[in-house]
Amino acid sequence: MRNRLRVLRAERDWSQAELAARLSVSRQTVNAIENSRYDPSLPLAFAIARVFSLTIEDVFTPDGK
Amino acid sequence: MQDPTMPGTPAVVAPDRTLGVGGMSREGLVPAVLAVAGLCGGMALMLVFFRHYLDPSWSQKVALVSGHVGLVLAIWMTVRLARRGDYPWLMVVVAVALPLFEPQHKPDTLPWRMFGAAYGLVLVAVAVFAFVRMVARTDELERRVNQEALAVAFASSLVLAIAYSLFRELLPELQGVWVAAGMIATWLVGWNRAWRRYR
Repeated sequence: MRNRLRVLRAERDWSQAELAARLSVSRQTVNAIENSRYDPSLPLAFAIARVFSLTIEDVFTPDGK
Repeated sequence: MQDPTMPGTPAVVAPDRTLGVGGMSREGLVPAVLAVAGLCGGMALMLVFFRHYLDPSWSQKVALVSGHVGLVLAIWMTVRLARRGDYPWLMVVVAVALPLFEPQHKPDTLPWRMFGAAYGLVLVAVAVFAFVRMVARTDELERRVNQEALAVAFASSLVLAIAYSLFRELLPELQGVWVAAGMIATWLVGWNRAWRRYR
């Protein structure tokens, strides 16, 4: 699954650590998601979308699309 | 603050440690090495004293005091690791500490037997505490890493146990503490392997 986490974070000038604190996860988790090494659970995906005031589809895209 | 991934549960912010190889923090390396050194040195010096504890010489009394200093250092560093939340390093310390004491190889005296029982119980308690705290404080990626590490530990322990039973006649007698240390060691290998994948 691809995502726009890095772009969205850059737009808001947030560091990985800052986003991690907002999501209550570790910075390593944010890094792994950004680099598509780890697909987050549905609750975390919702939390990420909520943090950016977007929908899940705006943040995550299936690999085929 | 609520955990966004688990509504109704308090947020658990995993500490932002500088991770070295395999998800082990770089900051935890020095306390872990000191703890292991203190344990090994302390135990060796205590052994020197307890071999002649009924009639100790001056140097053996020095060994007793130095041994206590080593063990206090080990406890201090272990507590530091626990307070920092460096649970993988804590497991390393326990994995090294467990085989250090094998009661059946020591003089059959009451102080040693009591010491051995207390030592083993404390180590097992530390291992259980470290593991439970670690799982409770991790986020979902770390939980995944831990799950994969447990799978590796389980499979490796199973293979090693079967291999040992097949070659029992050729191998030395296996002590229970070695099995426990081996399980922790294989868990650490699994942890390292999983962290590399998600790094």
